[in-house]
Amino acid sequence: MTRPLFVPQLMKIVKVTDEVTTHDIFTFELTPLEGEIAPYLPGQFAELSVFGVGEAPFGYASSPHERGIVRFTVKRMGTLTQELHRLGEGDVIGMRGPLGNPFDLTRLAGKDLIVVGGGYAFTTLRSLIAYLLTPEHREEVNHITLFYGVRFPGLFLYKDELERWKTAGDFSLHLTVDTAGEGWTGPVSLVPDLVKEVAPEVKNAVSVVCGPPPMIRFTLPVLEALGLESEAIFISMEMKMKCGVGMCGRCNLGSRFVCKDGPVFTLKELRELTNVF
Amino acid sequence: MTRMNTSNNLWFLPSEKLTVLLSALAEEGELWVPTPIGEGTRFLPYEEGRPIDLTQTPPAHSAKAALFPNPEVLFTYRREKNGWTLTSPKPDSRPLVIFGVRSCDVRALTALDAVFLKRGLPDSGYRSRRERLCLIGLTCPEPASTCFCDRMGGGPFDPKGMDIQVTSLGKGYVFRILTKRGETCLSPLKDQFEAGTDTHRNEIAAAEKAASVDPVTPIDFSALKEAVKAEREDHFWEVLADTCLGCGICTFYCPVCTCFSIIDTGNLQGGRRIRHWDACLFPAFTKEASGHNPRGSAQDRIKQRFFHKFCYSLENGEPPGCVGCGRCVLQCPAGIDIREILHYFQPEAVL
Repeated sequence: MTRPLFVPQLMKIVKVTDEVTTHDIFTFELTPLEGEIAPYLPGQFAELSVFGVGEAPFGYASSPHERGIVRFTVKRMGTLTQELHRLGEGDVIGMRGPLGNPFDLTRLAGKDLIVVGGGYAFTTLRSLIAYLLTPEHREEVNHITLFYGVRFPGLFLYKDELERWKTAGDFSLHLTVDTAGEGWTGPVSLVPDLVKEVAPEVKNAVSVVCGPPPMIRFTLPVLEALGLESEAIFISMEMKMKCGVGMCGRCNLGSRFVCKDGPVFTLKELRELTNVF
Repeated sequence: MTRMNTSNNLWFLPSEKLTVLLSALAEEGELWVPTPIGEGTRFLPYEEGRPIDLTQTPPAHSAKAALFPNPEVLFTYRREKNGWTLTSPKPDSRPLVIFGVRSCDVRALTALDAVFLKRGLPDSGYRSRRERLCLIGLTCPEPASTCFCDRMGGGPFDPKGMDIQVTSLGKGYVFRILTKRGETCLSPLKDQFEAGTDTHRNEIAAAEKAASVDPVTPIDFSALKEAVKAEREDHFWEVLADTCLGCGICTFYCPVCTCFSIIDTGNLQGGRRIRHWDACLFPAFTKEASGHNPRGSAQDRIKQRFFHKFCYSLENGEPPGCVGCGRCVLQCPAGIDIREILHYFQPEAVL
């Protein structure tokens, strides 16, 4: 029997990871209490429920190759995330997903990939990179360049994994912070400035961008100045959502819905829909 | 009593038999009727002995609550020793009949269908109600001065989408059976009816003629879409935003507006997840937990409402977001008249 549209799947929290030094971003690892994990791909999202509090959308931080579990990284922010952060291993929450569309891997295939991320929106980019770094998928794209910036070093998510990515083949990792400290020896620079300085080769490249709106706004002109066409820049958008399936009326950008038609749009599409970028 | 002729699609019900008919329909399934509440008429489930009102035009409230309940329980949740139990509402298989629904509200259902059935995954509750639905519509011999359905592609006697169309003729009601579903709905109650006659037919035609005013120029929706889009930065929106109080009453009375929220009522032990009507005109509608609001100004929100109605819906191949019922005109405390908006963007349309 298929589950009614708005009834979530029950998921057990099997692990909670405190990601950052401000202790306000946790990663929740979930396994289904009933049924299987519905197949998903990087870039999609799910609605997580705390019963009695409500529901909110989060991008998958895990990659489909990580079998048996899904992971979501959640910053403590509003009512739902406050309650979610109170829960621990063994507690049960609801999940509706996958919702939305994944990164279109056919349009990334055979290209150099420039990934630009900032802040805690990095979760969905982590899913994409982890997926592409698996032996089964690594050949699908060429060189991967990752720019990832946070306000200060303690705010990097997935620190162990970033450590491993430093030595990954055909992979350039550029981490940056707004403010140094904590023994930071890397660049102190805003993400758009670092992209400009490094100036990755764009001849056969596409870019994927996800982060806080100001970072996106200032990164896009840099990518375009490097020579990327607006069809070659993919942006993962976020808006407040309730239904996640194109009905509730919140997340539309012009005639398109971030939930149902997105959340990934090309810069070209976004320019046709809104005057935001 | 004249014997019913099955090839005749006009059935006549003497006035005094209406209550018998409604009671019988309510026995068979879920029956919604226009019910006077205070000064306005609201579609509510029929209750024996409670008056109904077939005269107020348009009924103060639209019929959308019958298909898009406010609130609607999506499921109940209860904490158990080992987790949670989620229970969906029991599916209802009885017929759902809306009696006395007007052509504007029937036309609005095509817009609701677009949202709840066609836009993406179908909404199971809506689909079930739609599949069980029989629409017994009512003609409008005396449209209100705020009615403009004829400019929006309909008309006070437009039968489109109805299963049965009823015209009140003083001494009784003529039921025009339009679909198999309508016939099936009334067949068990055939004994209550007399055969409709050519006189009835002529009387309906006369009433229709009397209800239609001078020839009107219907809105050209495609041209309207282009005009509205071209004037996104027009000063007009600023004036409109200054006038609008952001109370959202237009959206609640609108038969086409479908924005909703989903919330949990209850506590951390048990309760219900419900869907309730919401409005794009409320600042909190799109406000994110961070405090960021992509539609942060009154102007952003009012543009969203009208761009959705007249541009986005058409761009997505959905029906326009206005059927000309005029309820928002009647209800707006700030006197905003949607006909003036239409006129501004399409001056040649006579409103």
